[in-house]
Order: sequence, then structure tokens, then C-alpha cells
Amino acid sequence: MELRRLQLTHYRNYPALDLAVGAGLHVFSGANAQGKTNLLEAVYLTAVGKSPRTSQEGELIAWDAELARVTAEYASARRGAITVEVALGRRGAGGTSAQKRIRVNDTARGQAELAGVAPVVLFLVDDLEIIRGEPARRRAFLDTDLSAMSRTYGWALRQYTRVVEQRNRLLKGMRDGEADPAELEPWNAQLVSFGARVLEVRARFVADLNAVSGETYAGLTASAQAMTITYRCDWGDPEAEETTRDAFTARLDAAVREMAGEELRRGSSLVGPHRDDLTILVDGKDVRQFGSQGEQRTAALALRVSEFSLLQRLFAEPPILLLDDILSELDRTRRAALLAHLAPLAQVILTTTDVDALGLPPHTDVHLYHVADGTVAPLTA
Amino acid sequence: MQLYARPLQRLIDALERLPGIGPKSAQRLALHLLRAPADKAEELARAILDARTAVHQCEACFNLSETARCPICDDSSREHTLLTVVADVRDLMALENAGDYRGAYHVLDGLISPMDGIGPENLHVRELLARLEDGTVREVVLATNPTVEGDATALYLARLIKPLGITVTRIALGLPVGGDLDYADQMTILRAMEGRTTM
Ligand SMILES: Nc1ncnc2c1ncn2[C@@H]1O[C@H](COP(=O)(O)OP(=O)(O)OP(=O)(O)O)[C@@H](O)[C@H]1O
Ligand SMILES: [Mg+2]
Ligand SMILES: [Zn+2]
Repeated sequence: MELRRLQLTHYRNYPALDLAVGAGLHVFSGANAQGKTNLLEAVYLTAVGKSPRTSQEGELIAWDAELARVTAEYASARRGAITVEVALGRRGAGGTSAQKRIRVNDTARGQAELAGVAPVVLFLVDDLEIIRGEPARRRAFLDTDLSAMSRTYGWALRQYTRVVEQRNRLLKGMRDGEADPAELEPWNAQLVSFGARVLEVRARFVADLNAVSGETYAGLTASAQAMTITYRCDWGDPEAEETTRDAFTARLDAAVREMAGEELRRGSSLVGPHRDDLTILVDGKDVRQFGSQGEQRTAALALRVSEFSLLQRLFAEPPILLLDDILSELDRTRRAALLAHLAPLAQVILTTTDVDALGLPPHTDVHLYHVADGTVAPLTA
Repeated sequence: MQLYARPLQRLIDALERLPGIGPKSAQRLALHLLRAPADKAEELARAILDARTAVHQCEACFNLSETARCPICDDSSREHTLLTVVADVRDLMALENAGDYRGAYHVLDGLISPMDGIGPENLHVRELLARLEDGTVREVVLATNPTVEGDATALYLARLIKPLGITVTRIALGLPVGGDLDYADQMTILRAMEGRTTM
């Protein structure tokens, strides 16, 4: 997969941009607050259908405009030329919400239908929080990735989330004597059926991720250290290992019955994938608790690189790599090693404030650009 | 600053409160009504008032009707052994417009949704069970939408009705109303596959 052309109109701090790109490594450098991240965000928007930074889509429209447009032309080895256009219209004057229209090859599409149209992997400085942050952060990592890969996962997850919300409200009502226990059964049945769908896909993804992450971590650190990822449910039979949908159905069903009393006391759903977490081990130790800053950073990178390998297999071509300022925190050798590892694999688009510190790999197809105040100028390398 | 004559503004405001009508359409409709011949506007006003006073819910099925019992409930040529349960009158109309169905209906007037404070006691569930008592109905078709609320309502009713020895079936309507239109096609196919039956 390759981005060939990016056009922005009234997007963030870009009044108008028309940028042609080709294969290779593309480095966008510039001072702070010039529009480097905005550029990657725009590409991500056409690939995934939403911004990685905000859900308030009105923020993406230039302050002095009512309508923003992003058009990306992609070239796929398997599917030929693909043009994705996202138009955003501000709702109400000065509003932070927007109406969004997505077109793929001139045909209107829903956001969910973009799944797999133009696969990208985005590396953010904030990825460190996947390793260090709360369990919700790791669930969000799984859910964002899986929704971008599969429309059915996104659908099952939304249904599941809705069931949990409804069920929590009902449990509170029952606790306060407002609702009849017979009303719980339909929500139990749906919690189990949608929960098992979500669990099955997550478990398979984690297993696939695991199959590549060990090697990836070792490669990034030039060491023999391995990274392993496990999916953890703290409810139901702790001995259960089978990860088929039927197995998850049985396990959820038993746990829902077992926890009924406690759920009623607390007025909240205590069983299911909305309670789960990932454990990430490096050399057998939980990197969240025991990892150094550098190890945690490397684990986050290894997760993204593993994601890249998985997507590459799934879509039978390499996704585009978008790296937002993530290299500055690595030492010079690791930086060079990472770039040397990634550059031959795919089209890479990265941002940095300091191009000299990158340690650009020699003999690669490198293109440099300077970003200043919403404009982009090619530099000669 | 007052933009319009006061009565015109009142009309625009009233129209704008109708579902599916934005400020621009409200303005266009109001101006249209003002410019149309007086009897056209009177006809509309009378139609609204007449409908309000003359139409009420059928005492058996909660369809909208001019008579105590609606024409569907009173039609002896229909199969009253077959009863389809729908969330609201719009769903009933959709099924009637499709034309093939010859059974009776029961309108719930909503779906179970704890977040909206709607439980079975807020729907016409008690009346449904009362209708099933005399043994006329042999099959109940649950035709609520395939949303989590529609499914919860169907599951709840199925548990109540099955013990009465009545056959309970479930249909999945094509598009989930208020659901994700984005997903509809693929999901409809997926669910149809999963809901397949042996022949
Ligand atoms: N809707 C908008 N309209 C106009 N300008 C905007 C809008 N949203 C953000 N900006 C501006 O865009 C700039 C931020 O751009 P961006 O986040 O891409 O910076 P950056 O080059 O990545 O900087 P850094 O190196 O600090 O990460 C800020 O100056 C911000 O004020
Ligand atoms: Mg930035
Ligand atoms: Zn009737």
C-alpha cells in the first residue's frame, strides 16, 4: 500500500496543500506547532475514518472555515488505485462537532466500511501509555485495531457495549427495588452472545500478535529477549484455556450465573470483555511493573511493528507506516536500527523536529520535506 | 429583533418541532401555507384536528383505529391464529404495505430499554398475555427490530409465551431502525446465515 497524493483544504492549519509522494521513506521535519502531526492525522483520517487525536471532528476544520476536505490517493498492489475523500462540515457556528462524508472511489461509504481499504499503522509518542496505562488503554488498543481490520468486530463491540450499558442500568434498578429480576435474563443472554464474539476475535488477535512479537522485540533490541502478550480475564474459570466462541460462551454463561449476587449488590456488570486486560512480559517479567522507561518504549514499538506484520499478512500487502515523532526518545543506535528495519518493508511517513538526529539509513529511497506554518516544501537530501 | 410577524413565527416554531423538519423546511412550509388558497390551509388544519379526535388505539391490538376495534382485528377473513408482535404502528404499516401477511398484530408501543426507563410494565405486555389466554392464537411472531433492545424484548416475551404451549418465532427485519446503517448489509447477511434452519 502506498500513499501517492494528499490534498488538504481548510484542514487544521493547512489552507491548501497538494502533495505528491511515492515509495520510500518520507521525512517531514520542522519546528513545533507547524503542522507535522496534522499531516499524519489527515492520512489516518482517510485510512481509518476518524482522527486518532480527537472525537470532536469540528476541531479538524480550519478555524476560519466551515468546510474541510482531505483527499488521499492510494496505490494498492492488489486493488489498484483507490481515492478516499473525507469532507467535514461544521455543525453550528464555532461548533466542535461536524458532519462527515466519506467517499471511496467516488462512492459514498460509511466509516466502518473503510476497514481494510487503506491499511496503515500509526506510531504515536502516546503509545507508551498502552504499556504503562490503565487496562482501559490496552482494551482501546485492541478495539481500535480490530475495528479497523474487521467490520463485524466493530459491530459486535458496539452491540456488546450497549448491552453492558443497558444491563448496568437495570442492575442498579434491581438493587434499588425498581425492576423485576426476570427482566435480567434477556440482557444476560445478549451479554453472553456478543461477549463471546468479542472475546473470540480478541483472543485470536492476541495469539497472532504473540506469534510475531517475540521475534520483533528481539530484533528491535538486537538481543535474545522475547516479548509475550497474554489476554487476561479475571472472571470465570481461571483454568479455562480454550478460545473458541463456544468455549467463551460457556465460560461467560457460567460466570454470569456465579456472579449474579455480587453484580446485584454492586449494581454493575462484573463479567465480560469490558473487564479484561493484556499482560505484556519481557523476558518473563511484567514490563508494566518492572520495565525501565526504555524497555517500555521498546515494548510499545514492538507492539506496533507486530501489528504491522499481522496487517501485512491479513491484507497481503504491507500497510503504510506513519511515525509521529517517536524516534526522539530512542538512543542513536536503536533509532538507526528501527529505521533500517522498517524502511525496506513499506512506505514510511515520519515526522521529526530534528532531521539530523535521525541517523537516516544509507542507500534508501529518502525524501525530505520542511513543514512550516501549514506549508510543505521538499528539500533536496 | 423580530424577524417575522408574530403569528408566522408561531407557525414556523410549531412546524419545526415536528420530526424530520429543520428550520429551513419549517420556513418553507409556513410560507407555502400562507400563500396557498385559504381553503387548503383550513383543510389541513381540520384534517389534523379530526385525526386527533377520531383516531385512537384499538382496544385489542393497539393499532390506530377510528373504531373501538381496528379493521384488522375485525376482519374475519384474516388468520387470527397467527399474531405478529411489533414495537410500533409504523412497523405494522410496513408489514401491511408488504402485502403478504394475513394474520393479526399486537403493538407494544416501544421496546424494553432500562436506560430510557422503559420496562415491560410500560409496554402492552400484560394485554398481549391476556389476548393469548383463550387459546385462539397458535403462533406468535416476534417482529421487533434486530437491535439489542429489540432482541431483549423478543427474548423476554419468548420466555413468557413459550410455557403457554404457543409456537414462538422470530423474524429479523432488514434494516435496524436507529441501528448502524453502515453495517446493515453485511450484518443482515451474517445474521441470516446464523439464523438458518434445517429443512
Ligand atoms: N482547526 C485548526 N485550525 C487552524 N489551526 C489549527 C487547528 N487545529 C490545530 N491548529 C494548529 O496546528 C498547529 C499544530 O500542528 P501539529 O500538531 O501538526 O504540530 P506539529 O508540527 O506536529 O508540532 P510538534 O512538533 O509540537 O508536535 C498548532 O499551531 C495549532 O494551533
Ligand atoms: Mg506533533
Ligand atoms: Zn386491532
